[in-house]
Amino acid sequence: MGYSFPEEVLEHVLSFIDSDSDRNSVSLVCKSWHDIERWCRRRLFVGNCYAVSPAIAIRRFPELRSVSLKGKPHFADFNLVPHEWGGYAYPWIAAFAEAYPWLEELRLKRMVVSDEALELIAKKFKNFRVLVMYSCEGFSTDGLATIAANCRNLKELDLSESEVDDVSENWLCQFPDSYTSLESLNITSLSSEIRFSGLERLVGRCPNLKTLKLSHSVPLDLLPNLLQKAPQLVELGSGLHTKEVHPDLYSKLAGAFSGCKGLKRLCGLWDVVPSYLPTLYPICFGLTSLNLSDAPIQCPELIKLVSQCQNLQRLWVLDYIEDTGLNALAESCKDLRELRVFPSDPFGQEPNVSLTEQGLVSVSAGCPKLHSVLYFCRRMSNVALSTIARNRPNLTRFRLCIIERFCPDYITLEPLDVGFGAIVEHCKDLKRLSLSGLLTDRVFEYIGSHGKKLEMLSLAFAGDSDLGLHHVLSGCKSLRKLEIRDCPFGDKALLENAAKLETMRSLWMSACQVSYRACKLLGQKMPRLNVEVIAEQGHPDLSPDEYPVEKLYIYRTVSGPRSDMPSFVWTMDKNPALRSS
Amino acid sequence: MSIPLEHDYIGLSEAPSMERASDKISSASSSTISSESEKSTALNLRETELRLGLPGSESPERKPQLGVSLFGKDLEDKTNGYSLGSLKGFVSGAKRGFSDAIDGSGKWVFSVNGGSEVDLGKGAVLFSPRGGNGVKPLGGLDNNSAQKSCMPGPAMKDVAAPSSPKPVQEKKPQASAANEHASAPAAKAQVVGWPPIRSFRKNTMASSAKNNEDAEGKSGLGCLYVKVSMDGAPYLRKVDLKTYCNYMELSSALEKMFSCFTIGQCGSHGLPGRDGLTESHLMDLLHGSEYVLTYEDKDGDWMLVGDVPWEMFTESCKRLRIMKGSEAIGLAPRAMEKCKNRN
Repeated sequence: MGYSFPEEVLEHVLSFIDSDSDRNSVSLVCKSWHDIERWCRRRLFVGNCYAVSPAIAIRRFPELRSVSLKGKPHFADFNLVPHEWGGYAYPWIAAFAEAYPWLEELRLKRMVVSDEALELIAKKFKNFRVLVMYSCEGFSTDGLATIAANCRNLKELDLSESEVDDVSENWLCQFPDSYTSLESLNITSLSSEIRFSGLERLVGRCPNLKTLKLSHSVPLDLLPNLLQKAPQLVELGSGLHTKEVHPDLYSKLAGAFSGCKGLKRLCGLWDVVPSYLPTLYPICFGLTSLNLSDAPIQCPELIKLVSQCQNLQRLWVLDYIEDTGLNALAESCKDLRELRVFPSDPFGQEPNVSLTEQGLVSVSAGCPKLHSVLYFCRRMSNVALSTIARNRPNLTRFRLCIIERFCPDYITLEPLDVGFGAIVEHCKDLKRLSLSGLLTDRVFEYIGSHGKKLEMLSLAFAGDSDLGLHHVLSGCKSLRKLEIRDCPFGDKALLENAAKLETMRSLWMSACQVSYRACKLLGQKMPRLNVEVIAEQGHPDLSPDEYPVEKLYIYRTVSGPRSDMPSFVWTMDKNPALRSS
Repeated sequence: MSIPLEHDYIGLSEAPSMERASDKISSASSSTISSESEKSTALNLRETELRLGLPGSESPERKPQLGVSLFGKDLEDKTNGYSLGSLKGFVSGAKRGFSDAIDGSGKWVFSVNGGSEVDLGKGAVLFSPRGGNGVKPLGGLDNNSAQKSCMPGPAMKDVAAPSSPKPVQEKKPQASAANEHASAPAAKAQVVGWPPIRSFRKNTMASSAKNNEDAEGKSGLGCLYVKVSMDGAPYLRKVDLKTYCNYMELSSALEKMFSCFTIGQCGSHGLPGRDGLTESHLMDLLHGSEYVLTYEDKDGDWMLVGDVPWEMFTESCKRLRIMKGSEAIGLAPRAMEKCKNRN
């Protein structure tokens, strides 16, 4: 430090820098910049809660206000990660309670959060404002009650997709009457009934409430009242369910919706009665996001609804929309950026709707801004994929799920290698890709050579040999997350590309062919990786080393093996001296 | 015949039958394999055997000297996964089918020698199935064990995929049997986590207006949770109706749960013996005819508990409410009427 550039000036400059990667770059300039930066960093994102320990995080960044943590691997969403695997939030929250009394925001994804953890949040952080628990579990409405009762400055409470143990309907009433700062509430995942009067009063006294996403149990009768109390809503999630159509209710609802002039995002609509859909028409033009993935609305009504949403940017919908609906979408919604089509009957043997690859092709042709796709369908062709790729080279996320495994091109009966190859070749900014259908090693050759910006890749029932995995690991320079299930990938590719694993956040392999021996070897050779073997059938030591492990989760870490593993997870030793192999 | 099949991968003559084992839906009995072997000869599935070459050192053609055949078979250059022309959709499927064959016991493993360069061309048997003889069915895919790997499944489907007439006939049984399941061909075993739908979404869809019987209640199969509220109590409780066999058990459980909420009384016990369950009895149970146990049924109507047979009650009860006797007066006639209409 041979210059007199005041720290305060640098701090001020840095306060304009939000992006983590930029801040990381700043901290590498020199020691003093590293020091200054770490003292003024306010937000931290930890993509894998086991990659770093709370102590290390706190030591480096002593003044955090906002932390995001992710726990379980993504495949936990599909029940591939055993229960009790881990991802506990409590140690983090307990450490933060000591170190960051002024912590304001916690965003947790796929973590296990106990009521005790929630109680800590409620009692220890005096200025707590934002609690987002996306796809979490382990807590009950008792924990929520403590939050409600104690967090006077809470702005956002978001329980999207979390599993909550509903033990009391009363927790919303724990928000004191003096509490008025709520801006965003998402309690969609709660199945219980809530005290509706409590909800109405809460909504009525929070003038800044912008997001209100309710659960199934809120009856339709209540909705007009809520909307009238909160005409400033921007985002609404609600059912439109009622047993009978009351003319009064209809007009009340229509009036209430018309009053919400700023409503931009709509979701829910479980059990919607089609005759009530027209109450939404007045707001359709203003909608930018519509999530109908829980709504059993059939094609004709869907078309009527969607055709009026000319400003729609995001649509999540069930495959009831069918190809005709997607054609209508392509014609009406020219601003569409993201499309997700979910299957209404995923386990049925036969298609129950007329949704094919054509729908996606239409949207790819008609919506120039489309960049994010998740599409479940029952057939696909290389020609369609190539067309989509050529239509939409701006795709950044492409996830295709052909419901039947190993499904070939339905026209030529060939694998879909060429089609997906076209996707990676033309969509040069592709960051996320999920494959399905019949695929050989060739598709991985394409991905390895073209997928240079690919960050996340999900594979299932694909490929022929280790060569496939090798192509991916050696070719995809930007790869951060790789998750694989039921593919014939084994030791060779993994061991050949061991060094690559340290450049990635994590690798998940289940029902593949990586031997226990290779896992041990990898654990020994790569001390900065945790090589975790998941074996619910019994300790892998009990089988020959050549046997493949059931599930494998490898991630880089600076904290060494974790200490909270359940009985069926083992971290491969890093010290060869301790093992005889 | 099963023994040679499982151990001797070098037995090239066995190849067709082994590969055809992908068709086997039953627990990989060798007889099944051999009986179907004729069908496969025409397809020459041997050509598509799975290979494990050195990454990077293999040419796409997979020269045999570099490729280590998983099954210790000859390493001549055969059609590999890249030449899609010859066998069309069979290619990868056939490979998998081949491994299926080996996978007779459901436990085959292949081993690569650590990280070292594989001694290619040795043709050594690289792996041996665990336990040798036991040709075990793979069981449900729910195990998701690596031993089962992805091989079996693909084979089923792949073999079915091409338009050649033979597989088409077998398509349904294969497809339906998912992963070499020893089940009847008609049933399609579900693969864990496939299609990749969030379980959260599955539950939501199950409870949406898809005409799913509400038999699962709110918590999935095997239990029937309903909320129980009591007028004046600060919070609800939940009970699993499936844990009770009759009204008596239910009422005693509720009594225990809510005894502490009784206005002015705590821990009231010692209620009169119960012989049957009448309306008045319920009232007695609930602390001196002040409260009445009612339930909301599927139609949204509130009924008195005890009027209908227990099974009918558990099927239609959505939620319970212990309400004040005075509020319950209007219920009785409706309940009676409703029962009449039902019967």
